[in-house]
This record gives sequence, structure tokens and C-alpha cells, in this order.
Amino acid sequence: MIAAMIQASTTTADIMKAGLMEEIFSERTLQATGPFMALSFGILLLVLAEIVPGLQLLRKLIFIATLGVAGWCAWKTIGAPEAWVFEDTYVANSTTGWWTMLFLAATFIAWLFGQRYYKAESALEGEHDLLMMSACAGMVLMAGSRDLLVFFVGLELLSVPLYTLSAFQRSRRESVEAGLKYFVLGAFAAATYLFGSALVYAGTGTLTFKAINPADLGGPLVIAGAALIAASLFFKVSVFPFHMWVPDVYQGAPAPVTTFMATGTKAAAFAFLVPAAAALLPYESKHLAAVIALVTMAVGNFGALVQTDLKRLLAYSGVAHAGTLLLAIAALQGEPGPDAAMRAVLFYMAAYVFTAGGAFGLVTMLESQTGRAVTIDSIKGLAAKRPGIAAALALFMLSLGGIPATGGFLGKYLVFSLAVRSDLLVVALIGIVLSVVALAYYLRVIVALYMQPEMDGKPVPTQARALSGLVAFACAVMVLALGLVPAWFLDSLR
Amino acid sequence: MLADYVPILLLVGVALGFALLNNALSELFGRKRKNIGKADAYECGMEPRGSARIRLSIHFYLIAVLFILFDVEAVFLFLWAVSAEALRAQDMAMLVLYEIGVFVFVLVLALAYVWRKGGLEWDR
Repeated sequence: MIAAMIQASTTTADIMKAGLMEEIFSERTLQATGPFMALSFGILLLVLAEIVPGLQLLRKLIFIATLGVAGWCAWKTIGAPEAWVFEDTYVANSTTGWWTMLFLAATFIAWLFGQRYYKAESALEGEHDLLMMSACAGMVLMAGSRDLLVFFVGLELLSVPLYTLSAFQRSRRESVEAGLKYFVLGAFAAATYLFGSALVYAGTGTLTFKAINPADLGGPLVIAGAALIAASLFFKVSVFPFHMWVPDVYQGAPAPVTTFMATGTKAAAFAFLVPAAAALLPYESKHLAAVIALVTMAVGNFGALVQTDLKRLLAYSGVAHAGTLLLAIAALQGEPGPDAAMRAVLFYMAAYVFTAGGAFGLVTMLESQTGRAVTIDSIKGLAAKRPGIAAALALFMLSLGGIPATGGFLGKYLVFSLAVRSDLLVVALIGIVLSVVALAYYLRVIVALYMQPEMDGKPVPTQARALSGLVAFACAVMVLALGLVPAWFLDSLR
Repeated sequence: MLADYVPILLLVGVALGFALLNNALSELFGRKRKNIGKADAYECGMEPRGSARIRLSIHFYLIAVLFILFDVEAVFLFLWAVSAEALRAQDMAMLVLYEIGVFVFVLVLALAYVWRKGGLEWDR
């Protein structure tokens, strides 16, 4: 039998021999996998920093340097010719380059806001950074994969650290509860994903998108498989009816982790959803996806109306935004095509990462300064004491609501115009109406900030925090830049 | 095709024979002194009687997790070992050596991390 195994592996080796060495060490492969390799190397360095005495002092430097090197590698792929590597399972082009930049930005924002947040767990911050970077590497892998199995590796590389990070504050019951909930549901979603992949494989004979024969797509096995894969991805991006975990987990998890989850995870899953939908979903699924998108928007927006906790409010708003993005996925089956949908989703997500990242980040800051959950009541009168912070928070709310001159508006505009071009006019109109509903709760936050006096017993923190303020300012600048001068970004995507 | 399985059959036979032979020998020549402990159901590291609701040290969990991790990773070494010969024949000796070198390095790093953090110490 062993002889048979060697025989079998020899035949695989024969196939692989055709330039395997050349492919692995080629410039193209190194360029395509550069950001992922840089992050992986950074992870090893962070482990090393925990082992070698004295090296712990360099931890933050290693973290920043790794993000920087990965960013430089990603920058090199933007504008470079598209590179397919590893037998068409992984791709690097301008879009994946921008996605990678976005993940790095999300990681950096969450990490910066997380400085000085942890108190009882500050001895374990090395592990915190390590897990965060692993999750970031997972996101990069997810965005570049054009193969169901490669994506799964990325998904788990992202999810497993996030389960741990959600429960990072072991002494807080809510944090442990969030970790457990996320883990149990996430494990279930992973199983669903694998089952779906197995069905797709049974129906098409391959897991690689490029190798799928379009004639196989209509079969019952493939449709069932695609539905299961969609369900597990919908879980990750919190689309109805797989959104139930979001408010609880976002509220319970440590705030920097929530920032990271809300921006990075969602971006990574959508980065893969677009090519996956283009490869697996039949044209007839367009209207179904549009209906799910509308229901998700409705559930998110009406759910957010009654929230008082700011983290929960933003969690429901995140559900609504996932619904809007799903509209772009639905529109992809029509005339505009996957490339236009990818551009719209990427722009929307870029605006969302800086908007939600900034908003969650400021919640992180207020939470760690007061030691209490941040509610609508507790931010009343913030504008009088901390005008800069209040202005930034208000700007983020306006961008989330899609007010012109912000990145959020242009993102919404791109998605809805895509839907209109794809003959989904009615759907787009209902979506716009639902966006108006959303303004009600975003404005409630602004009213609390500016027009209501400070609550007795809930004083707003008066001390400034330079680093958080600076990051919030940078996020605000990005939100405005994407809203006012978006041409440089949109042009680089063509 | 079936002939390939003869060595496995032989191995099963030898293992079975070894076990039976040794049991028979100790049954024939061994001294038989019975006590309560010997008559109990065999259970590794546990009291087989009494309430099952006892508190276990969290150390067991940690050691079990570490064991599973390194155990699963050792499985990958087998796959490598089986295909290494064939890949070496294809002039890819250095490639496979580098690859497993990186893999083992990451494992060693993980082990060093566990060691440094005191994960291997029982009395803490």
C-alpha cells in the first residue's frame, strides 16, 4: 500500500514539477503573496518577542513595522498587472491591493484605540496584538482567494483569533458571554460553509472559481451548496436572518475588538462575497438577494431605533449597512457586472471602515475613560466639554446616515445607482426610504451631543486623550476626503 | 491490489498473537492475589466509582489542548515524509527541506512560547 501511495504522490509530483520551484520563487508569486507573507513574518516576530526576555519592549514597534511593510507590499500590487498564482486559487490585483490596505487600516485603527484600554489584562497585551495580527492575515487571505478551500483557511485564521479576542476580558462576564456566543455560532457557520463547499465540489468537480464550468451552475447540488456558503458568509457580515448574534457580541466584546470586528471582518467577508457570488450564484438569485437585502436594512434600522447603548446602536446600524452592501451583490447579476459591483462595494466599505472605525473608536475611548457602558444618556452634553470629540462623533454619524459631503453618502450613491442600472429600481427606492429611517437614530445621537444638558450622575470625561483624539481626527479626515475628493481613489480602481 | 494489504494483515496477526501470548503466559505462570483495586473497572487516572461530578484541575485542559495541537501537527510530518522521497527524485530536495524546516521552526517557536509562559509546569 505504501508503494501505491508513493506511486500516487509521484504522479502528483510529475504534474507539479512543471515549474513548481520557478513558480514559488518567482517575482510574481512574491508580489502577490507579499502582504500575507509580511504579516505572517510579523506574527512570528511577535511570538519571538514574547519568548526572548527584553524583546517585549519592541512589541509595539514590531506591530507598527509589520503593518507598514505589509502596506508597502500591498501598495506595490495596486496598479500592477493582475497576478494569478497557485493554480488560479489566489489573485493579486489593484482591488485586492486596496482591500489589503483597508484591512491594515482597520487593524491599525482598532489597535491604536485599544492602547491604554485594557487594565486587568494589560499583562496579556502581547497576545492581544498577536491575535489581532493573525486575524488581519486571515482577512488578507480571504480577499485574495478565488478558491473555496483557500478562503476557508483565511476565514478560520480570522475567526479563531476573534473568538479568543471577544472573550479577552476574562473577568467581565459580558466579554466571556460574547466570546462563547460568537464561538458556538461561528463554529456552526464554519461547518455550514464546509458542507456547502462539499456540495459545490460534488456538483462541479472543482473548488476553484476559474475552473468551474458555467453549465454546471444550475444543478440542485450547486444551488444547495451556494445557498449554504451564502448562509455562512451572511453570518459573518451579519445579514438577516443570521444577524442575531451581532448586538450581543458587539456589546459584550472589549471595545477595541468590536471596532476591529465591525470594520475588518465585514470588509473581508464582502471582499470575497463579490467574486463568490459572481462565480456561484445563478442569475435567478438576483431578486431573492435584493429582498434579503431590503429585509436586512429594515431589521437593522428599526432595531437601532430603540437602542440606548451606543455599541448596540452601532451594531444594528452595521446590520443595516450590510443590507445595503448586499444590494450591490444582488445588482452584480445584472447589467453592471461584477467589476462595477466590486468597485462600489470597495468604496462603500472604505468609507465604512473609517466611519465605523472612528465611531467605535470614540466609544472605546469614552468607555475606558468612564469605566461604564456608553449610552445615549452618558454622552449628553459632550459637545460643551469636549467639542472636538463631539464634532468627530457627529461627523461619523452623518456619514453613517449617508449625508452628502461624507464618504458614506458616496458609497450609498454608488450602490443604489448600481441597483438602478441593474433594473432593481423599486428595490433601490425602498432602500433609500429605509436609509431615511436610519437618520432618525443617527440624529438622536447628535441631538444628545449638542442639544441636551449633561445628565446628573453621568458626567462626561473632561480629560483629553491625545492618541485617540489624533486617530479620530485622521478617520474624520479620511471620511471627508472620500466624500469630497473621491476621484483619486475611484480612478485607481479602473 | 489486495496483495498490498498482506503486510498489514501480518502486522495485525503479530500484534494479536503478541497480546494473546503474553496474556496466556501470565495466566499460566502469574500469581493471583485479588484485591478491590484490581477487581475494579479500568479507568485511566480516574476513580471509577462515586459521583462523576467532580472538579478537575484546569491543568488537564491545558495539557490536553497542547497535546492535540502538537499531535495534529505531527500528522503533517507523516504526509511530508511519505512524499519527500518522490519529490527528492524530482530534484526538489532543497525545496521540501526548506518547507519542512519552516514548518518545524514555527512548531519549535510555539513550543518555546508555551514553555516560557509556564504552560508546561504542573505546580503553579
